[in-house]
Amino acid sequence: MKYRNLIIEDPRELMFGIAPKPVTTRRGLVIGGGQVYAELNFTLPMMSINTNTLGEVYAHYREIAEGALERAVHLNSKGVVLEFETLLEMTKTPDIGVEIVKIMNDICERYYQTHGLKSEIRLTPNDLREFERPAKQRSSFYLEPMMELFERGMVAGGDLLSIESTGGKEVSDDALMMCDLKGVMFALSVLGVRDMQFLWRKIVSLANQHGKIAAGDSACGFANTAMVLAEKKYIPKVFAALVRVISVVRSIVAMEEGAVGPDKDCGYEGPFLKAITGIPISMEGKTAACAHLSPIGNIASACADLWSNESVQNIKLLSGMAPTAYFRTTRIRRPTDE
Amino acid sequence: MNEALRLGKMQCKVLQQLLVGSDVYTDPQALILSPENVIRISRELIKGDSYVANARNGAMVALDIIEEAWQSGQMHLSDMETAYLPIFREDLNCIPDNEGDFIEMMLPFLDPGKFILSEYGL
Repeated sequence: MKYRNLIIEDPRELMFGIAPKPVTTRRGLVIGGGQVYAELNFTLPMMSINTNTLGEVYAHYREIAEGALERAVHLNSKGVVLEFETLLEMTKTPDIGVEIVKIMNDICERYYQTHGLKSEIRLTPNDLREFERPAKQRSSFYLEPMMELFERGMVAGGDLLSIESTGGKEVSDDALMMCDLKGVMFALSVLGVRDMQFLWRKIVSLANQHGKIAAGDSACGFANTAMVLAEKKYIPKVFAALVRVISVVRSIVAMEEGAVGPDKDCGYEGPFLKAITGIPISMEGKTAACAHLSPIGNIASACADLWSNESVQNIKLLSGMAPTAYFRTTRIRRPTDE
Repeated sequence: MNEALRLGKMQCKVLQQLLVGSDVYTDPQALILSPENVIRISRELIKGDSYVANARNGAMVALDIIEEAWQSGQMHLSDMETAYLPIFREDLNCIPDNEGDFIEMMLPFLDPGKFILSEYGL
């Protein structure tokens, strides 16, 4: 284990917008360097993804990126992160994921060149291994498309690399339902840790090879599952809180292997990672209500460096398309300050 | 938040207190995320010699924090929640420091058809 001391010892120093180890992106966005930036998370409306609909799929992502960045310029924002959380088909067939990264990166670059807007893409492929049971964490044929999307996607412009990896989930799913704390402990601190070491060694190696940023992992499939089950009163909230704390020893392995942040928005273990390692973190709270309900609407932002919204479908609301509208809810800075 | 950052430390502190204060006692999951509690728990998460020990130590102090807030009357917990407090404490108390010992302790209780140990390097 790498970390023996806290980078942030004083709770007063665990502050939003300021991280001891800020991350500077390719276009010059300094995350954790004294500002809180928006991270926009989005997805397709309900639709199939197949060869007949690919044109429509690409058009949605083009519309999302264009709409968000146009709005960012209107609001005088200096920067934004677009999180591209792939849908299954986009990781299973990396060509699709890579094409979407290219489409969005072209738009990011155009807004950077014409308006000076610093935007970056966080690329988050799916962990396909969870679709095999029992999972073959190290020998699954699913590893190949996952790693292919990571590598080709980062070359195409996905500068921040993340995943919601699922090592140990085959044990934790039952343990969560049974309130089996020892089972959760085994899933996260034994299986999860070992899988994180295996997976993040590969991701960090690829990121270093291509000069990209290995950002971080989220224990979403574990601790957020517990949070949602507790919200529905299937399990105690106390249990969900303990699962969150236990998940820290699993998620911190990404940093031990060389990830530098910003940690992923749905990883509510982020504040612990920031205190222990000094990395910047992305967080979501009330702005994630489009995807899931939670009891941590405001406190989640107390030490956030990116403020995010969770996946919102590209559907039309009264004000405009939902991702564009959500950009407004995650954006924090007043135009008059800029 | 950026307006507070522009104005200075005092404004950041006040805003953070408001963000924390609005949620902190509404739910144990919010309670553990207050900066004070994050630091208190994080100290426990790094002091052991194994990931298992660190996870157990962190969860134990989180449980302490939740019980303190409940017993002081600051946070309400339903009877269903409080009934589990001693159960979770007992569960945590029986987890050993050593990963190998923990694996040996757990294997008889886990369904071997659910996961493949060798896929985790075990």
